[in-house]
Amino acid sequence: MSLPVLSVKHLTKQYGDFLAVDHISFEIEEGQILGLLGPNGAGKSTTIQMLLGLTDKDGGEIQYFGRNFDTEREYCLSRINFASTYAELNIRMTVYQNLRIYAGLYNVRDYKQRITELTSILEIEECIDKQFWHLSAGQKTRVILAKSLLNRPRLLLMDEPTASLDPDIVSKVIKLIKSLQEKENITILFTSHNMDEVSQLCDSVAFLAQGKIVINDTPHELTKTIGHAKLTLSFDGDKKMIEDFLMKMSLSAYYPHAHLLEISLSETEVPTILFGLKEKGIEITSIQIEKPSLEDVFLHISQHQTI
Amino acid sequence: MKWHRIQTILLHSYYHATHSKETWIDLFWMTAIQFAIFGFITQFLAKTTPHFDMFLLLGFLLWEIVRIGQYCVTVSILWEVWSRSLSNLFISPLTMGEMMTGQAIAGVIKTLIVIGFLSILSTFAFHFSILDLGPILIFYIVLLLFFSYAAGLFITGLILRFGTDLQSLAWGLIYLYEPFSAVFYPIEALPPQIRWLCYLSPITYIIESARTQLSTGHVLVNYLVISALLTSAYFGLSILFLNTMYKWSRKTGAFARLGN
Repeated sequence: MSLPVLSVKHLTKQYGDFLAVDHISFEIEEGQILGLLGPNGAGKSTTIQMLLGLTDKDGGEIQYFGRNFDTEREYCLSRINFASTYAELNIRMTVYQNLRIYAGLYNVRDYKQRITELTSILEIEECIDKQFWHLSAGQKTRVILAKSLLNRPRLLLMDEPTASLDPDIVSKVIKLIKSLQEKENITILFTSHNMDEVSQLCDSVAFLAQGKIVINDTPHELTKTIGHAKLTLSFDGDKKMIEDFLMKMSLSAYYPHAHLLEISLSETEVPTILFGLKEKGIEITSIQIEKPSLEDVFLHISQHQTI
Repeated sequence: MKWHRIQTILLHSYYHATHSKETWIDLFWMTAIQFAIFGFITQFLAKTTPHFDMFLLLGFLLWEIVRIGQYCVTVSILWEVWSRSLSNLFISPLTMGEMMTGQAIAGVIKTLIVIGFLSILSTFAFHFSILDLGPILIFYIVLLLFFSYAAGLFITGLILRFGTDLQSLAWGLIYLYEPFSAVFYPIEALPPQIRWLCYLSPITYIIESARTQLSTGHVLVNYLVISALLTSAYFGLSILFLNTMYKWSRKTGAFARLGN
């Protein structure tokens, strides 16, 4: 069995009395995309900073490709990279010059070819000779993405790479990341506040709350842990009969209108409710089922700090 | 340390300098204008005081070596902070030692370009050539540059510790040394109570030696030895200080905040 690309064991960071990261452990396998989620102050940024060596850890161990990050820092850093809208490039230099510099730092020997290839894939050829500070937010994001792919990283850490972008550009960037990940078989650690992005991109998600990993699972399994779906029905019939029926099922409903009801229930209960109402002679004119989303999980964890 | 990364920092410095008007204005334009003004004043004063013009121009040129060298080291880091790109640099395999070494080498080149230009201007416009000092000038320049780097590393350490609140020190702190380094006047010109401060500055010994050399032809070797020892001490302490501040800023998360 191959070694995990990243293995984190009991990673800890304390700022004075505040325990920002509390003995977290997780692994990322080759080709996997792991989403690191959590409310503000949960410890995501501190974790990423420690993984990149920008902030020193207080305890625990970080291993990239089976190598200890503390003792083989250069080996590890030359094989990973980072993209974030909060970490930009030199504003006075042109896009090409910035990319040339990072190619040099990562010792990319075929840098001309690589820069041409990436600027073509990311559709930023037209701004190659523009100074970085003249670029639009979307162009900057794509240039930062190009920088993060220069050294053909085996692991890419992405900290809110689409923050502050317009929705249409976000969608484009997400598609781009997905296609790049498939093309170059990159392993990705991804943080975002946008749950749609995480659902689209990530194979598994680790939720952080108060510095701890509360749960680590696939997006699908995570939504199942919340369990509750929302069933909205339009009906013709006696409201009292419906209330009695739901009471027997130990369910309560909310009636926005006289012939509309909303029930919060487990997904498995939906067929029972629908058949039961039919048997009672209630005519259902429309049905809408909203499954729990990752956002519901996020909100649940943010409010309860646990699943 | 890896040479290819130091080379890349040199390239970085070249790219940045050629695209940043601010750098050109700070290093070249303002220096050249001030030098020209100085030159004309000294021409006027030299009519009443012999050698005065020579001493002022000499002081100006040697002081500028210190100012430009320090500026190059410190402001290069600040540009990355202003660009919010410091994190990106330091999540690459680049080390702080490589960054500082690269900027120091770039500083030598920039200093030589600016001082070279001023020297030509001085020779033709004001009839003073710093090359009259002979080969010992190289030793003067090396000591002054090392002292300037010591100051640059110290200020960089302060920026890592206190953030951009102290960024104006990148331009201002070195001027604390100017009155106490006998740049434009001999030590005896200062009140006796504060002359001891001059003996703490390695610049004093170099400029005193250079002045003596121009007027008598003798190099004050003992002064150069003292200057070299003081410069080594300043340089060693500044590396220690920068290293401590760098570790502190990584420990407290201040480095990551500074970078974003």
